[in-house]
Amino acid sequence: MISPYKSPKGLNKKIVTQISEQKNEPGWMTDFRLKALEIFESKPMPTWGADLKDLDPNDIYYYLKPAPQSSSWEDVPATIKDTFNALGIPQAEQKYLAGVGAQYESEMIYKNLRKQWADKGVIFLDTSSGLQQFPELFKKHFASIIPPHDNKFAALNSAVWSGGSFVYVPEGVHIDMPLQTYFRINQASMGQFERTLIIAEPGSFVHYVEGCSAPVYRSNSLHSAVVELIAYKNSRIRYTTIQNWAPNVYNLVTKRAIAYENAKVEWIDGNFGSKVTMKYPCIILKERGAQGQIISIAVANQNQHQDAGAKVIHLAPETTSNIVSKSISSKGGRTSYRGLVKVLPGCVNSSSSVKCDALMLDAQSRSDTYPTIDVREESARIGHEASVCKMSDDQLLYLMSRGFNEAQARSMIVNGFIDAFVKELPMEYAVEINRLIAHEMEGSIG
Amino acid sequence: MNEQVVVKKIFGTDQEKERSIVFKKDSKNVVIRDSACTHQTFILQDNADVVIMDKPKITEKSRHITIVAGKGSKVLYTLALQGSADVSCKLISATGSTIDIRGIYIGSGDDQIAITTEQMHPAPQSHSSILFKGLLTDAASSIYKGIIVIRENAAGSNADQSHQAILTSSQARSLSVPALEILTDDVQCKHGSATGPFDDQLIFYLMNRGFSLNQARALLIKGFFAEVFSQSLFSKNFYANWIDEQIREVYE
Repeated sequence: MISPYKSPKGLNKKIVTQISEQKNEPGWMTDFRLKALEIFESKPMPTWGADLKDLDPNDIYYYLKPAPQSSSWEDVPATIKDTFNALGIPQAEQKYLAGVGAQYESEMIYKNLRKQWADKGVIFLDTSSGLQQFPELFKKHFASIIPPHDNKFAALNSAVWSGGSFVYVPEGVHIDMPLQTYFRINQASMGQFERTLIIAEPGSFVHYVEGCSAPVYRSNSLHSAVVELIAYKNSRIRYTTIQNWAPNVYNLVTKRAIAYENAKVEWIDGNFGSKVTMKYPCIILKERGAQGQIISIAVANQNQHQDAGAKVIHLAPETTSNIVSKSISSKGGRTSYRGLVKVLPGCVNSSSSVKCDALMLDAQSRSDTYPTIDVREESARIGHEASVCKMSDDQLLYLMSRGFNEAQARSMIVNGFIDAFVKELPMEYAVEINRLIAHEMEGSIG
Repeated sequence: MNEQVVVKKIFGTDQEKERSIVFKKDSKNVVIRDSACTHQTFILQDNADVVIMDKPKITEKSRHITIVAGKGSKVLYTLALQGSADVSCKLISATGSTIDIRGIYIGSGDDQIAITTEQMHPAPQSHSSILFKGLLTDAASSIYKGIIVIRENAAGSNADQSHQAILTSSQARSLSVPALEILTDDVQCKHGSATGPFDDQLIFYLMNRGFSLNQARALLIKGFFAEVFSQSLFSKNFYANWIDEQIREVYE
C-alpha cells in the first residue's frame, strides 16, 4: 500500500507552501494562505466560549493527502462500533467512516446525477477543482464573507484549507434533490479544514447536506471548517449539517451567509458529537425582504461541550429572522447557546423571533444561554424567549403506563423535543437521527 | 400581606455610602427607600416578609442593591427609573425563599439606562423573578444584562426574568443580554426579552373609538406598565400617580 503524504505536525510557512504546491494552486492563493498564516499566529486563543486549553495547534497534522488511513479496525473504539450497529450502517460504510476502509463506492449513482446537474449549468465540485476550473468565479466570491482576520480559526482554515465543496447554481435553476457530500465520499469531504463556498444566482434554489449521524472517527483532533453562502436576489439556500465527530475532536467552525433582496437562507444545524464544538451559523440580511432561519440542535453527553448558537444581523427594511435552538444535556455534558440578533437603524418593519429550549436529563449536566439582543430601530419587533427544564415525570408516567419501557419512553420524549429540527431533514437522515437518539437513551438509563 | 401593616419610611436622606439593613426573623415590613445610599444590602432572616419600594424621584443615578433572602423569606423590591440611571441588583436566595424585582424605566432626551441583575440560586427550592419594562423616546438607550445561575444543589428552584422595551423614536436603542447558567436538571427557568413599537392594531382600535393618537399611546403605555406593580396593593398605589404624571409629560 502506498503511504499517504502526511506533513509533519505543527504549522509553518513551509508546510503551507507545500499544501499549495500539492494542489497546483495559482500564486494568489499561495499568497493568501501565507498571509492567513501570519494572521493566525498573531491572534490569541479565544478565552470566551468553550475551554480550549488542551488544544495545542502545534500537535496537529495539517495536511493528509487523500488516501485510506493506516490504522486498523481493531483500534476503533467499541462505542463507535456499537453506534454503527445501532444505526444499521452497512459493513463497508462502517469501515470507511472509521477511517480504516477504502473509499465507499458510490461512483455509479454520482455519475448520473453529475450529468443532470451539468446539463443545467450547476457546478458541484470539491473546492480545489472549483479553483482550478472556474478561477474568475471562484476568486470573486472566495473569502468575501469570511475574511482570514475574522477570527483565529478562520485564519487557520484560510491558511491550510483542503477539501470542502464549491457549488454554483445559475440564475433561475432549482435543484430539487439535495446535494450531499456523502455522494462525493473521499477523504477530502470529511477532512479537517474544509472550505465550502456556495453561490446561488438570482431566483435559484439549492439544498446542501453535509455530514452524517454516524460517528466519524479520526485520530487527529481538530476540525476547523469555513462555510460561506451567497444568496443573490430571490434565491434560496438551505444548508443542513449533521455533525457527529468522535468525542476526541475539537470542532471549531465559522459559517456565514449573506442574503440579498428577498433571498432566503436556512441553516439546519445538528450537533451530536465532538469533545468541544464552537459554531454560530450567521446570516446577514443585507437587502430588503431578506429572510433568515436557523434551526439548531445540540446534544451533549459525558465530557462534551456543545457551545453553539446563531447570529442574525438585520441591515435592511422588512427583513425577518427566526431562530429555534433545542439543546439536550446528559451524563455531565454541557450545552451553551450563544446568539446575537442585531437590528440596525433603518430596518423598518423588520422582525425577529428567537426561541431556545433546553432539556436536561440529569442533575450532573449543565445548560447555559447567552443571547444578545441589540435593537436600534423603533418599528422592529423583536422577541426572545428561553426555557430550561428536565424530562417531565408526567410524560414518562403516561408513556410507561401504556407499555413502553423507560428507555423507549425517554427516547420518544427526546424525539418529540427535537421534532422541529428532525422534520426539516431529508427522510433518511431523519430516520437515522431517531435511531441515534434511541441508542443514546438506552445508554443513559441506570 | 396584611394591609393593616403600617408603611414605614426609612433611610431618609442619609449620606452614608454603604448601608446594611437586616429584617428580623418572622417580621413583616413595608418600607419606602428614599435615600442617597448608592450601595445597600438587605438581609432577610428566616421567614421575614418585606416589600421595599424605591421612591421614583431618588436623585442619585447609581444604585447597587444586594438582597440576601434567608430561609422561607419573601421580598418584593420595586423601582421606577426616570432619566439616566445605573442600577444593579444581586439576589441570593436561600431554601424556600422568594425574591421578586419589579421595575419600570422611562428614558427621553439622551438618557442612558443601564440595569444589571444577578439571580444566584445556591440552595434548593428557592425562587426568584425579575420583570423590567421600559419606554424609550428621543435618543434614549437602555442596556439590560441579567444572569440567572442555578447551582448543582439547587434542585426544585425556579427563576425567571423578563425585559420588555417600547421604542418610540428612530434614535432610541435597546440592548438586552439575558443569560442562564443551569447546573442541575430539576428546575424551571425561563427568560424573555421583547422590543418593539406600539401595536398598530391597538392604536387603530382606540383611535376609531375617538381617542387621539397621543391619547391612544398614553392608554397603551399605562396598560403596558400596569402589570409591573400589580403584585402588591402597596406598590400599585405607590407608583400610580407618578406613572400618570410621566405619561402625561411624554404624550401631552
